[in-house]
Amino acid sequence: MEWNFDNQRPIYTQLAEMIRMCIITGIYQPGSRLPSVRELANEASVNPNTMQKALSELERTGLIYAVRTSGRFVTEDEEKIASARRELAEGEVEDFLRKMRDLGIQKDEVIELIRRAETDKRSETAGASGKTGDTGENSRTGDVYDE
Amino acid sequence: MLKKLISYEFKATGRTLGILYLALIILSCVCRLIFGLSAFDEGTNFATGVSSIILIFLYAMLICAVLVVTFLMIIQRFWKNLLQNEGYLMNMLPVKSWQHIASKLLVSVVWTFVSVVVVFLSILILSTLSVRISPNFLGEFLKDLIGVFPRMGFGGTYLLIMGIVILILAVASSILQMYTAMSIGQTQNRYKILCSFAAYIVLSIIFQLIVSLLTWLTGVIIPDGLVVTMVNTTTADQAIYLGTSIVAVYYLARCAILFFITNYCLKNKLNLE
Amino acid sequence: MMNENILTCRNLSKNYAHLSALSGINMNIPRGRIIGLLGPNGSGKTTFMKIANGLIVPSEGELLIGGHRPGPETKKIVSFLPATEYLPSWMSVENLVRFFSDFFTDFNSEKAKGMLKRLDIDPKARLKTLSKGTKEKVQLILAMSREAELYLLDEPIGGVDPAARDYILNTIITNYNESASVIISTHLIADVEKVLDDVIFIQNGQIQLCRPVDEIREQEGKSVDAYFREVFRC
Repeated sequence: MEWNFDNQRPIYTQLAEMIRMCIITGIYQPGSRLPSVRELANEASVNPNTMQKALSELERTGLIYAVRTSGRFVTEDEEKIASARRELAEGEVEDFLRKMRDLGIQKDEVIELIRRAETDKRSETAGASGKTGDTGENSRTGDVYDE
Repeated sequence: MLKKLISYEFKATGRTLGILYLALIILSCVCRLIFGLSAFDEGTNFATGVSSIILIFLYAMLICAVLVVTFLMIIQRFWKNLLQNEGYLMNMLPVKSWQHIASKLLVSVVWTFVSVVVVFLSILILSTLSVRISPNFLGEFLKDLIGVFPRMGFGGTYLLIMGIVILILAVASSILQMYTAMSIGQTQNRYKILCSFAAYIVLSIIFQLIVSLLTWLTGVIIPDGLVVTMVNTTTADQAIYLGTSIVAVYYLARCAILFFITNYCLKNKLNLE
Repeated sequence: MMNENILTCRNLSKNYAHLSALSGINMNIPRGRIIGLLGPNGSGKTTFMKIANGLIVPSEGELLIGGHRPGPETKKIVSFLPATEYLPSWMSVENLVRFFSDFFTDFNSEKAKGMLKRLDIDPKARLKTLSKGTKEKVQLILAMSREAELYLLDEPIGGVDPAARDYILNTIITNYNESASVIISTHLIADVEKVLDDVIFIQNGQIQLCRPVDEIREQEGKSVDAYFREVFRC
């Protein structure tokens, strides 16, 4: 996994997000044992105290739990992981919609764009790339509409 | 820790001085061999003449080098190793400052005597050249010199021992005086070297005054090594006992004072660039 | 209370003839932290490091390490990496490792040898034959191979290439333990930022600010590097 950080937010929150991502995507399986703070800190090249803080944060949300002597484990509660996944997806969608709003694209148009992107993706294997130009034009018309 | 410091100090100095001393001994042997051959060879020609001049010149240079380099090494080890960049390393060791001074002093005193012995030895090697002087001239001279003391009526052995003690103390005190001067000089933020020289001169003057005062009080003259006593004592024995004791105590006190000042400066006034 | 802070400064000041290098520094460094001492050139970082190692004496106030003034007791528990080249150039790397293990009971020779191997440094090489960057690596390896209670690293990454820089920072993190603290003085903030717990900004011999890195990011919404540039804008 790549451990890249952006400059605006605390490192521990970013670490917590990255580990949560690993749990959601199944890199860390439900019920499995997490690497130690030290191992994780070394892997991410961060201060162990910061990693500790990130893990505490995840413990608070219930995605992981600590067992006194044997370390930290990913929750076995699949529902919890699913809800974390949903939460993350919702967040991403919200971000996306905000960006679209900033670009001045209407809701219907957004749905249309998504649909077209989906079909593009399907035909991508056939090597069709001409349609991306259309998408660009459309978004530009959207811009004009707003003004 | 002191032991480790001393062994490290010998290693650091030995690689230069050892080679230099060895070179002098080897050159002496070479001279001895070549001159020995030409001495047997009655007719000296131009080539042997030139080469012997070169050899003598080299020999003289090397003798000077042994003495000068030993002297410079004593100063440089203290200045560079404790008070310049390498001082970062030495002063980060969990070692007391007196141990630094003691290790450097001991090694310096040893090298001073070794350098004298080496020069002596080299002369001894060359001296076996002369037919008129017996091959063992210097050895016999030394034996006579040392043998004379016990044959003297009044505690000659005591005198011999005191003589050696005084010699060691005198050498130690002159090395310590340089250490003290450098330790005082380094406390300044600028012109450290200049201040060290100034400190050395001031220390010399102070000790000169003390010696004058002592001479005036007791009548003992204290130039290095030479002892003349004019104290009103009943016998010559007593005069010599008193005289050597005063000189020894003087040098001991001088060493103690200088050691104390150096230690104080290194412990409380260290000022590395 | 005494044991919680590994280093304490009380009104620490150092004056030279015409300028004051440090003036009235008060701070406590707890155990188990990695702290960045950040400031522009000539701000007093090195002066602080030198006082902490007994290489110069403060004009006023005091600095205590584990309750003691700098001296043989503190030197046993402090591993110092000076900013200058300070190792005798005639010695070989191997000799130096032996020298350190002779004088420091907490020195781990195996660790040092491992790091030398990892950074591809020939232990037989004499110091004077090494490049400036390699010398700096050797100095750092020697400092980090001790199991000290306080590491004082003065500009540890200044002269080395970015790859070695990462290795060095990783070494610092790997070496971390709860009872030891590390103080790193540097002006290369972006590189060290993610390994630090707290930062101390120092300028003109005075502490401008002392905050946890995460707090700066959280409250200022920018990296410490960006924040530093803002605070010390010329």
